[in-house]
Amino acid sequence: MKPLGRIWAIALNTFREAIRQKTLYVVAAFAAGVKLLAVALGEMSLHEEVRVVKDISLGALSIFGVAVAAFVGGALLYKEIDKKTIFTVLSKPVHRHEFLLGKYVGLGLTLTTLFVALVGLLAIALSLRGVSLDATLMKQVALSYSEVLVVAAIATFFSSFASPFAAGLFTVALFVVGRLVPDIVQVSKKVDNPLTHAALRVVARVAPNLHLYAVSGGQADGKEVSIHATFVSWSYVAQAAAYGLLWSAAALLIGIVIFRRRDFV
Amino acid sequence: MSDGVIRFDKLTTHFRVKTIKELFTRVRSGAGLKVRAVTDLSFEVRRGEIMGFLGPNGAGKSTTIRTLMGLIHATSGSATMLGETVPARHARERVGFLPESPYFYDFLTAVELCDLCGRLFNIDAATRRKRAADLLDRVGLAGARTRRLRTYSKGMLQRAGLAQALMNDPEVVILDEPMSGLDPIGRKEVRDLIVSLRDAGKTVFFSTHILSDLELICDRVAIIVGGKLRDVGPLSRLLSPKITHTEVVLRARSGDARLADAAGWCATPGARVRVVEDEAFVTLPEGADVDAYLAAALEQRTTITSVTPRKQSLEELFVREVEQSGVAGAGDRA
Repeated sequence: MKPLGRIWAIALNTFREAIRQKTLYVVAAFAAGVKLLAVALGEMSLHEEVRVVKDISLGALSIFGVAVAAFVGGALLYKEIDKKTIFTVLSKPVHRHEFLLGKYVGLGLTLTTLFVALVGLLAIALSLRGVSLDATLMKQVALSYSEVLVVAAIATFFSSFASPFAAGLFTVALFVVGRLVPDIVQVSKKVDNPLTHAALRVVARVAPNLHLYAVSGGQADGKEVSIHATFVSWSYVAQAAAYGLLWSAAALLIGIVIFRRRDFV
Repeated sequence: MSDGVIRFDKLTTHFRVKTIKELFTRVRSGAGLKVRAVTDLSFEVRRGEIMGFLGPNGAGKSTTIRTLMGLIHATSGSATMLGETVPARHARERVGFLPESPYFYDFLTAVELCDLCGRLFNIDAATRRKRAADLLDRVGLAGARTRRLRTYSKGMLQRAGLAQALMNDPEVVILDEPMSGLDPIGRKEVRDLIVSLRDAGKTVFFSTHILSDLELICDRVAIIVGGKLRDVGPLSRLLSPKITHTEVVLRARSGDARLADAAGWCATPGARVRVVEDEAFVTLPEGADVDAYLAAALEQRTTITSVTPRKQSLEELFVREVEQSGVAGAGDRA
């Protein structure tokens, strides 16, 4: 239990920082503004109020979640090193991997809080229209949550060696590539140049397939799926979450290897 | 070398430059691409003593301490703490550490900082609460314990740092520049705290460039200049017991006493005099016959106000070590 206690202490401290530095409030307020906009746009649409609220709210949930994961995650370790607060923690009987994992778990707690707040707002917005949060919506929320945790792990990995701006930028770039993985595979089949073909195949293999988490309007489980009609099964959600877990573990593991070698001068 | 709780054995810590600007500066100045922060450092800190680690700014004190605490990897050689080679994670359970210019989470209160540190030592909640309250009271922060650290002065941060360093009731306390940023009263309080730690059986190893602090409380001193150990031992051994000069203060008894000539009344060459109003401050060189000089001064119609024989001070020893090392303090840091 000792390592878990230390990881939890670091995680709680990271979460406390996010809450007290008010970054999270700014993001949540902005996201809430978008939701209000969604309600307003819904009012203007022709009998599509619920559809508009769902689409914009879920889109905002994903975008704001990814933005927080990429940019807060990207600054996660740099801030500790730059402000030298890391000296206080690593001079205690703390393994470096415990520190990095603690920071990641703290970021996860922050993102969970953001998700709970935003999903709560979505539920309120829908209840005003007499609609409740159904299983389909919760499946999409679960997919977005898994995706955001993968993005947070990637950001944590980049923050183990890059500046916050670079780490945030690399994370967003990998997120975009990850969302386009099926398209990259398709394009690779059409290109004649063997070098470009090979490069695209490598990118499609190396990047995380984040399209798994944004399947509404496309194909999944061998059928057309949409949050407004038939959606994916819980088994699909579980598999996507497991894939994300593996990807996150790999990103954190490489981050730990890099972080263990660093000197804090 | 029997009871060393901290040992350095030919410890060498070199690291790469951090920024491109630093890289260019070093290349332009002809310095290598690696910063030779500490080279071949060997000494030990014995159980139950207060050991001062003295050096000018940039001498390698903080690098040595950070290497000891596992924050920097040693290039070669080794350091051990409580018998365990660094990073010595298990030994760190029995060590308290205050970093230089304490940088803490400024969104926390002092109580929360102590609580966080206690959690990292896996101390139970009740003990954490009690220790935090006791320590914050001891360092004079009881009244500010629930204020955020961002509202603290530098001196208050230093005190909060001392409190967090003692949360695990450590056997060994390592303090990097603990007096920096403190006013004279604050420095005295920290000195008293360090002495009380030794009295409680703890070992204290602290770095400083403030000589008076060392002279007042240290059992032994290690002097580092330019990343290399210059000397180590008790102050009584490092400082020469010989009288290096004698200071005499004379006052004119009558108007015709020629105070400006007071240096010439000494038979040994090298005496100096400084006259301020009706007083002369005379410095007699080593080996001067002080009794004969005082007799001569009385004959010249002066009153002898004070006679003070001076031994070598730590400051003189320190300046000599820096001068002999041939570096102006900053060592290899470009």
